[in-house]
Amino acid sequence: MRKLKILMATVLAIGLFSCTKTDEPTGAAKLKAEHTRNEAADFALEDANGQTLKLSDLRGKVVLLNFWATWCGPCKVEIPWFIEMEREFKDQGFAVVGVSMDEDGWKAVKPFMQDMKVNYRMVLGTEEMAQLYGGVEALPTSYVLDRNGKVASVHMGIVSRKVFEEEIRALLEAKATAAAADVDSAPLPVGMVAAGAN
Amino acid sequence: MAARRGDSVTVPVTVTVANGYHVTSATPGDRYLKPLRLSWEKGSISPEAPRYPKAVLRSYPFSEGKLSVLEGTFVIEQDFRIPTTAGQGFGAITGKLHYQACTEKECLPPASLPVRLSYDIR
Repeated sequence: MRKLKILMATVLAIGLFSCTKTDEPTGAAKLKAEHTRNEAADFALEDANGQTLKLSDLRGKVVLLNFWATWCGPCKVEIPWFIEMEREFKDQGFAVVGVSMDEDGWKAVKPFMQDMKVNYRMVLGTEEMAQLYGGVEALPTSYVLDRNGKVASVHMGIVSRKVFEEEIRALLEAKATAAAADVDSAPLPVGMVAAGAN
Repeated sequence: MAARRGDSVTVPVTVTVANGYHVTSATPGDRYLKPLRLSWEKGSISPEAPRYPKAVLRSYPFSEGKLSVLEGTFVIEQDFRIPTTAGQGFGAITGKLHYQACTEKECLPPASLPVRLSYDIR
């Protein structure tokens, strides 16, 4: 039997289109000014427990919307941070929403969630939904939303935990300040006025 | 390529990964990672199991341990058997190179590239 050697070249020109995104500074907290923020596109998807998660139902909370996948190494670093952030800030009106872009669906995602002990809500992203968020070409991609459901920051690629925490704290405090101002300037309820008049 | 019936032919498939990127190797050692895989459609010539290059174990800022990856230019060796019953003349076999690429900061979705080998059986 003869053995021949044939040359065939296949060039993988991969990743070239996302280079510009990688170059964006992602290492510093950088919230958009409030008046420049756009509303995050709403979606309704079934979560890991079979309940519908509608993004707009989370209005009033600061939301970290994280696009990720089980095959994404950098995503796996961020997930333990998100688990701790969910635990730390949940009572202050914060929620993490994971959007898995795994093509294998829950079959891949649920075991991963169990392995990592994910404590926040998870949905499976769809192509249509990803298009609403600019296509989500690379993972991880995270959107930090303010309490009005508006996009305060976008991070493409892994970001430091410090950056996320600074942004979340700033957005949570922004609400606290506004709430305090509202109480100070609010008119007294009628019943209380009557009681004081006596 | 030109080959005779009964031949066994080795075809090196040369792959170049864009600078700054790596692809998960054929043996990633993590059930969640997507291995590099070369697959072929059925044709008149029979592909054997591809021989993938030795992977590099590399540390990345995002990985706890070392990851088994390939980067730069590498070669996958693919053997084909030309059956003695194969018809003579020109033909082609098509396949796909399945890969998943990342940088140090982000990953691209699993993707595939078409591979086509034209042959002449004499």
